[in-house]
Amino acid sequence: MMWLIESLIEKWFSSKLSIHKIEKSLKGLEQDERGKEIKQKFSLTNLQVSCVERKIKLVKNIEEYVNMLQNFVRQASEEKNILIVFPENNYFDLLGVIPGFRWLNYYLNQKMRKHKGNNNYNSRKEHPERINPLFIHILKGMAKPVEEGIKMIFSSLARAYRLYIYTGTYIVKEGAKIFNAGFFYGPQGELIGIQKKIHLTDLEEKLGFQRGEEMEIYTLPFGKVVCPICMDATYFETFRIAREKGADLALLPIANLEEYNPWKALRGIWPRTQESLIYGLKSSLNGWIAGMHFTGKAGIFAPWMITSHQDGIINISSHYEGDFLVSGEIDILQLYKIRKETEYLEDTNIEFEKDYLEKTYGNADQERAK
Amino acid sequence: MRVASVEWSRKEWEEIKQPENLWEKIESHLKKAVQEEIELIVFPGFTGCFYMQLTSSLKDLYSLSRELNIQSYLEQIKEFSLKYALIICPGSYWERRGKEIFHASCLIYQGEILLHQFQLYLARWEKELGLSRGIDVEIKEIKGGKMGIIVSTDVFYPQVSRRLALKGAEIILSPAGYIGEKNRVLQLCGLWEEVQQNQFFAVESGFNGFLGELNFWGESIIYAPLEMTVNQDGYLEKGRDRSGLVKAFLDNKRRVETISKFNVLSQLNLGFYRKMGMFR
Repeated sequence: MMWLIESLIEKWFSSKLSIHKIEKSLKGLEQDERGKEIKQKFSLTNLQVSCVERKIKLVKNIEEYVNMLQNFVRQASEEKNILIVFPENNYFDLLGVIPGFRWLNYYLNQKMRKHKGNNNYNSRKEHPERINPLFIHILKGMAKPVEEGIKMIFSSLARAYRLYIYTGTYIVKEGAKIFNAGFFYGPQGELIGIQKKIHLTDLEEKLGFQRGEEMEIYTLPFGKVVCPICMDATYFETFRIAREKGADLALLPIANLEEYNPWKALRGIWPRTQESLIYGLKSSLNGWIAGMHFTGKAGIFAPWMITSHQDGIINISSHYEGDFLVSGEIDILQLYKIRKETEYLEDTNIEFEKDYLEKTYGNADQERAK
Repeated sequence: MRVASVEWSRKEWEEIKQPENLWEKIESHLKKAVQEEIELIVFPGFTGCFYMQLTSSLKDLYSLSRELNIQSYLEQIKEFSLKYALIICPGSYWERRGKEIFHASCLIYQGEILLHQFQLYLARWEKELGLSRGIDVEIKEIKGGKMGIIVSTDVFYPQVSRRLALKGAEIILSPAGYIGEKNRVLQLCGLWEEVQQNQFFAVESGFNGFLGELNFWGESIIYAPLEMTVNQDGYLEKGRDRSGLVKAFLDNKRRVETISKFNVLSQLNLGFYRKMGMFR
């Protein structure tokens, strides 16, 4: 029965996101001459980058969705950015094309809002039990056509505006397996790489997502880039590996399924940029979908020593809900300088680090299996 | 377990002119801790080094770190631990092993050193001083709590905390002190981060004194996973009260409950770390 639902959803999305419709919605997208200039001008000491914070808005058709994406990309280009990062779960809006979903969404959101009045409510714990099992089959069904569609859209946008674009994340289906993954495009519209989420939330695990087991590092003209996703920044290991591979920038799309608390938000990319001495660009999705409430601020973070207020923040959104493009300037050469001059970081202990994996995590897999 | 962290202001450190002044001050805090039914108390980072400085005519840190023997300091603390029935972390000190000098700390209970720890990573100034690095971390169960020590600079190295957490540490004790301008952001980059990504308790005691020409600062703070702190900020207590102590009750049952709702360590991805060759 469930395969039938998946199949029907796939067919529906294939028709709604057909190449013809996407081409139509991209029609008129012209090469942006301003964008060309930006690319020629960028320097390692003055790199303009941007992150999207946006609210989920169910769309009626693909044209609306493309228009929303294009508005952010255009703004990024106008503000002379060379890179834009979209948030995790950047596809939720597309659920709006499913007949009846708006009504269902309204019902589920209202129900959860009432439930949140309950003092014992804990979003991280409660959601896994409360997600309708049908939801995962909808996601699986829409995965392929959405992936095909967004690849075309983002490639076209990147080429038109001469920008590096990290798409945020979508569902990637490989056989029966599904992953939460993002696509990175270069200014010629070329696909630079795909990154799967490495550390899952309990909800994602419950929904059947698989974990990525590799992290690619992309060598670009302005530095080396990694693209971890949301929970990956809860783990120092991700960023330790990123630094070992030479990363200078981490692009981190998030969609935090919890009520906003600045301290909770501080557990992610901010501490990782401090301990690893790299730049962190965080994009964020917010709003309600299917009874789930997402919050979070987009921001650009750096080791505190090289930020003007000595607080590790280059720029951050003014609110955790709404639509914002957060832009900022980063200086790769300054990053290299502080790595050499830092008082408290960058030491190594060969003896302690020898066989660290085996001696430290030896039982971690068994514990997890329990 | 009721715990306390000691914090003395710069002025208070300046008023300590003789070793006797330091003993009086330490003992007065131990008495207060007993009155407050504290079971474990942590003294500031570098307290042992400060003691060495008081007992020597040498002014430069290099000579100081090599000349003195920490035993008299530790013996006195052992005596206190017998008299006051407290688990005492005497702050940190420089310790000689053969030709090497380490930055170290320990836990003393009933006249015995139950847990000993060398610092594993060095700050730039510690490298210039020629200190050596320890090779591993240990934990010890004392009065029902699994404890580990993170010595000062190691708070900035998450691999130290992670190793302790996966060894089962529930309470981390951290005598600390930082050079340079007072900077709360720097301290936030240390133990606060480690508590949140490992979900243990931590008791940090900051040194606001001086060693030779070097000035130090550090707040004394007791941390917990943020979901179980009143302001949801990860701070169980900071800022000393009239007794001069920063105090808190570490409710391990509640900590376990908190972890059951959001367990960071349950989602570690060992396959990924292996495949990417972390630390190789």
